[in-house]
Amino acid sequence: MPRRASSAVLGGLARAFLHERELYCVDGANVFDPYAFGQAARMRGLSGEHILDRVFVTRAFTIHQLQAVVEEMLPPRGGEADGPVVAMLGLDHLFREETLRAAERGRVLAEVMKRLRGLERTGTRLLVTYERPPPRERFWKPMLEFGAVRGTVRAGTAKGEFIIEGHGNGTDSSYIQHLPAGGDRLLETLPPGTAGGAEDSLRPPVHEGTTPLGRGGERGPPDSIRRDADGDPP
Amino acid sequence: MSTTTGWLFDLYARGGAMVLWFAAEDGERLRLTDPFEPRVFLGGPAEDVEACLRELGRRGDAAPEGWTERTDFWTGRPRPAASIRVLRAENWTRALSRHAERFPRVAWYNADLPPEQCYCYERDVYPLMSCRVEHEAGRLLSLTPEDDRWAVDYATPPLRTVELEGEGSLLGGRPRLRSLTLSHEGRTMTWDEPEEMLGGLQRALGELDPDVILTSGGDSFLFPVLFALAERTKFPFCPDRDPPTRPREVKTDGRSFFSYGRILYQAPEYALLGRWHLDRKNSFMLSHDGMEGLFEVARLARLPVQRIARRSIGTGISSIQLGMAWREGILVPWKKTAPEAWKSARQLLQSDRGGLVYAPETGVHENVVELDFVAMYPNIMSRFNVSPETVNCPCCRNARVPEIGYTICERRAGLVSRALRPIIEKRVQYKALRAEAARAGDERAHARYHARQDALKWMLVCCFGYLGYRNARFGRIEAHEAVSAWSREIILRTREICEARGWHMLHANVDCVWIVKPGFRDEEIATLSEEIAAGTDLPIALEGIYKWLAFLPSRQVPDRPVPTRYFGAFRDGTIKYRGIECRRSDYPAYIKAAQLVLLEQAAGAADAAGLRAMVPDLLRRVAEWERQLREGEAPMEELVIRQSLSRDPGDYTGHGAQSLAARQAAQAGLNLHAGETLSYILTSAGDHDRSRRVRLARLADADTRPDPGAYIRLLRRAANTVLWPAGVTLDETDPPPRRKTTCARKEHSPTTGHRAGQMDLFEQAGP
Repeated sequence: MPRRASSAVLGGLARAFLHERELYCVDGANVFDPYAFGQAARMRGLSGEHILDRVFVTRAFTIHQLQAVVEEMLPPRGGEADGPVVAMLGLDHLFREETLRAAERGRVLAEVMKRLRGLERTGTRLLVTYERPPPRERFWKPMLEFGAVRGTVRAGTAKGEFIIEGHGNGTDSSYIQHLPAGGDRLLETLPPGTAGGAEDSLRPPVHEGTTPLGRGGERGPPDSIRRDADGDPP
Repeated sequence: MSTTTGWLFDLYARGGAMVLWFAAEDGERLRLTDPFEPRVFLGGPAEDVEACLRELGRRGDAAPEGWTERTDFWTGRPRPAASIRVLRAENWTRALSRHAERFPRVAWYNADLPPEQCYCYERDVYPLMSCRVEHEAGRLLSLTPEDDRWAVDYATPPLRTVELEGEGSLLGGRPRLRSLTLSHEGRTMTWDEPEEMLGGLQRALGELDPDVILTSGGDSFLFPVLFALAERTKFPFCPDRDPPTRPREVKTDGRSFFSYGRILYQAPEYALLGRWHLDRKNSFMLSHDGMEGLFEVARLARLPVQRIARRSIGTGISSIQLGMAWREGILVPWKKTAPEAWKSARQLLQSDRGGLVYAPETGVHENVVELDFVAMYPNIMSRFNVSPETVNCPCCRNARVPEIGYTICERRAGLVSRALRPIIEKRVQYKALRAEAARAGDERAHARYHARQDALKWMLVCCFGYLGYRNARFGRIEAHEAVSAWSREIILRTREICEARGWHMLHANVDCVWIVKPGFRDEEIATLSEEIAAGTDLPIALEGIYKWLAFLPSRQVPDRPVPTRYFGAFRDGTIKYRGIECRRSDYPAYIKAAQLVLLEQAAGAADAAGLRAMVPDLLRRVAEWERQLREGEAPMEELVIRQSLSRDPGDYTGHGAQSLAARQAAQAGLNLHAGETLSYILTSAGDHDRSRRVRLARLADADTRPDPGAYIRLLRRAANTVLWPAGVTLDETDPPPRRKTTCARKEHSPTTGHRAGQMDLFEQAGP
């Protein structure tokens, strides 16, 4: 994940979680920046400590470490009801490491995604960020599918501006928001704690007032919030 | 049965055996084989392991040996593991991947170590080991060591070395060789005709039977061209002593990788069998510390000489740790899976920091004492038991690491700590021997011990980085953080001790401090060092006492100090300089030499006033060099700017000198990669036609003329650094006069430095 784009995501996360109980970040791209959280708190007239003690991080430096984190350390605090939100930052980053065989990367990614789906079914609230992977590599499919049906937030750039893009169908539709305005709405893109099962997840998402990205390059209105796959309010 | 005494020269796996080459004392080169099947361990769910064992046996990849007990690295406790013997070591890598994919729940240990390394660990041997071997019909019967790898005085084999050079190009992807020269003991053989080259070289290698072929660029250019030529002409070219079982694949592309903030390039490898090919340009160790340094690391790391020559120094330290783990029965995981424990953002802020730096007080200071901690980080790791498995261990609770409160195990001595201790001690021994050799006037011994201690220094330097390196077997981020936390605490304690004794700290940079005290006596320094060593539990040594020392400000923000930009003269007249132009790799040799001459002259000054008095002399020298540049008297090869490519040449898009030169290289079809060095000359820095601003050194011809204005600006920039303490600045922006030699002179305060505006135009023209 590009560092500037990741800062945008972190800034958005920070604002969104100022009044949350706890946030657990799994950092797969070495982009976690505690200053982003401290700054967000100060901008709202709060002390940095207000948020710094409630945000937790673990950094993975290999795909196998990432797999171990997902399998052994999630959900944090043993998956208690109404547990904290888990943010996976730069999920794709380590899987782009070409010194590892593609088959091995694909196998581990599939395992990671399987585990994430399992976590989601048990009520863990997940936020996943990744960069759009090269289309010709097929092993990204589980990650893109996960993003498509769960409303994963992706950080990227368009015409020099930082955006948060929520995927609706895994391709290029859905909505785009300017982060400064839309950062607080990040939570709204998360699947609700009681996300539907596999059946619901296969249902096509509903879009309201969105403009496809890449068809003329227009952006949807900033207030266009995607409704979740099962039609519940976000 | 015969007995031979000599040195283990080379080893490699072939067909279920290890091929060993010995350099006998009588000059004979002996090829022996020793049956060897590397041992690998499996763990995980028993039913998966059993199924995997059956599959391994069915496919003939490995022979199961049954269940055994080995030590878990993280807990230190015994755990069951299934042992197997790899039957076909050459094909094991592929087989391992296949089985790992099929049985994802199986944990593999010691699985991906090269068979040569496993052989050395298991048989307790190492390259260049002096030994006595018993053999019969080409088979090794026994091997008795006659030397210790931790010995400091060991003999190395007398080797027959030839130097191979070639002229040609890889332009446009079509390799061409114009001439080939082989040198041996003052004799040279040169071939100019392509059809003669391979045959002539093959004959010469057969007659001379060298142990070592030394090249400069053999991996990136010479051997790829020779093998491509052989392929094209169907000539059976074989520079090895032992012909390879498969024909060599001609590779011209290596790999670019990111390390310590820089893109580096590693050329493809052309290692030989039974004979060494060593490429100075593709070997950090060889280029830094020569054969002596290379031998030292190969012996300690138990890695074949050609391999360690082409690997990063971290591979050496990693191999020492692996060897120790292997011999102690510790399971070495194939995949690094241990994750970082959850920490709060506040804890991350506290722990994820580097060494402590006190910004220097810019300006010129007199009678400055510099004290350096001896191998600070390795000593912290060794003395305070910092190792991946000892930090935050499950058995203890003591919050021993300052600031961040991590626990250090009190029950176990860490593997990394134990591996480092003998290296630190050996380096101390070498330094003592070097000093002894210097006293005795024995230059050869001095050079030998210097190279060996320097090789060990590099190992110790990288051991800290390796502790936090993601691919290091024995790396863990918490251990890395613990070392940094300790180093910060030590510098804080050092400052307290210094100030309690009336010293003032001018600057501190991670592991060294610069202090002053009005009218101090030299004996006080020894007392102070002892107190610091006692107070920190780390050895500290006097680097020297400066007559004067200038801490320079930032070029971009003149009122801001910069930690690593200074120069000064010690009492004995030697100079020390860091972060200035003559230390930079991207400055032309001519400018760097000019700055060094200025520094050497300045070193004659007794104090700051003496330095100021020298300014007219220094300016006269600068004026003379400017004249040489203007009148084309500066040698062209000394004006070449060398820069490392941060991306592939075709990917550059800007209009700076490097971008333009990189695009010239891409257009000319030069096979350069990110991390390789680009050499060019500034030809017309301000030309509207951008293609004329620079000229690639390889494309330079008789019509190429350096741009005097651009080089004079570089010269003035370098001169201004030396003149800064005297309060003098030469104008770096105005175009230099074409006929008359004058230097614009501006008085300024040492604390204000250069004007930022002066730099802008230069930045566009310079490297």
